[in-house]
Amino acid sequence: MASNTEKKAFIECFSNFMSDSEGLAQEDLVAELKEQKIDIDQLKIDVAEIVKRGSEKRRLGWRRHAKQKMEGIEKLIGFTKTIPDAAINAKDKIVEFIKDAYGPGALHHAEAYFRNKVALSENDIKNLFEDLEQLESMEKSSSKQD
Amino acid sequence: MGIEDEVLKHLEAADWDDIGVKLTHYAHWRAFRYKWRTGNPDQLPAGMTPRDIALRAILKVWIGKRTWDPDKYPDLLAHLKWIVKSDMNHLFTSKGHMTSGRINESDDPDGLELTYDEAIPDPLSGFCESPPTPEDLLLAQERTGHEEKAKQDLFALVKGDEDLELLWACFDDGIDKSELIAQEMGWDVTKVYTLKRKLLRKASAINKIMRQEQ
Repeated sequence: MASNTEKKAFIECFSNFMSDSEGLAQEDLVAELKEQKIDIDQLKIDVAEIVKRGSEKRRLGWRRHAKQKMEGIEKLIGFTKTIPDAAINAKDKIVEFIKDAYGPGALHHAEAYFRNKVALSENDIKNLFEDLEQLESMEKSSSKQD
Repeated sequence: MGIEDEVLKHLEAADWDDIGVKLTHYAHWRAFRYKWRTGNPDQLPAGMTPRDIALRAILKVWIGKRTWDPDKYPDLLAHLKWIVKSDMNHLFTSKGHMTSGRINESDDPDGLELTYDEAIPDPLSGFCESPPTPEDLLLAQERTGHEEKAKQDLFALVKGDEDLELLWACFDDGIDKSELIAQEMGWDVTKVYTLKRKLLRKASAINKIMRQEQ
């Protein structure tokens, strides 16, 4: 043996060998599980149910997340229209939203954006969010490449 | 496309019928490596069975409780097997389910586990840290006796079949990977797979012996 790891016990080796399905056909495994009194049809139904529910849940989760994000942006745009009448600081509200939606890292980009703007229009805010969305997707794809 | 989209795409494209069967098979044989208080590797603590552990592993990946990165670990079945291994180990070591210890588990050279966030604790490590009590020694002696008996009974099952006897010799030498067995014996790996199929046909008798070993 090339390896210098501790020698495995017989039973351990035996169960490792038997548990590995490599080289076995689906029929071999099904026949064996049936012999273990496992209802293969029910097993497949149970797995399919987990897959179906899991898939729905994942898709629903993203839709909810996307909807919340959109609602946040729309609320913010609506809020900017009332800025002259509002007593609160619009920039703080925007900063808070960006922090929640995109994480603290996105604040640097937003702050740089604010520095270049004397007054904020609806389009400015839309552009800012488009930039942030692009940055977020770039970050995701670069972290994936890493 | 976002990471979540990509994971979902991979999960939805997987052959779940095949995975379900292979993972249940894996969980079933994996359970033999532990000495369960129930005395039956098909009846695990908390009313669980190896089949349940396999299904829960699938569920955990789907609901994101165990995240899967297809770029880092492209083999989904290997990832699920790791979850089964980890969960079964936790089930065994938690809530005082341990009885007289477990079948020896030496370092797994697969490498797969080492790359995951959660290392699987080695339950034997506790025995090494403090000197064994007379009770520990007695239990270990008992365990060795049971294992030796199981080994003899398993050998009796294959006696007379030269190839299977040689396969047994490989297990005795600590070799359990099909490729390594083939290499060691100078066989084609397909011959090892044929022998595995031959053993599967003796599964009932093997299971009976392994249950007695419990």
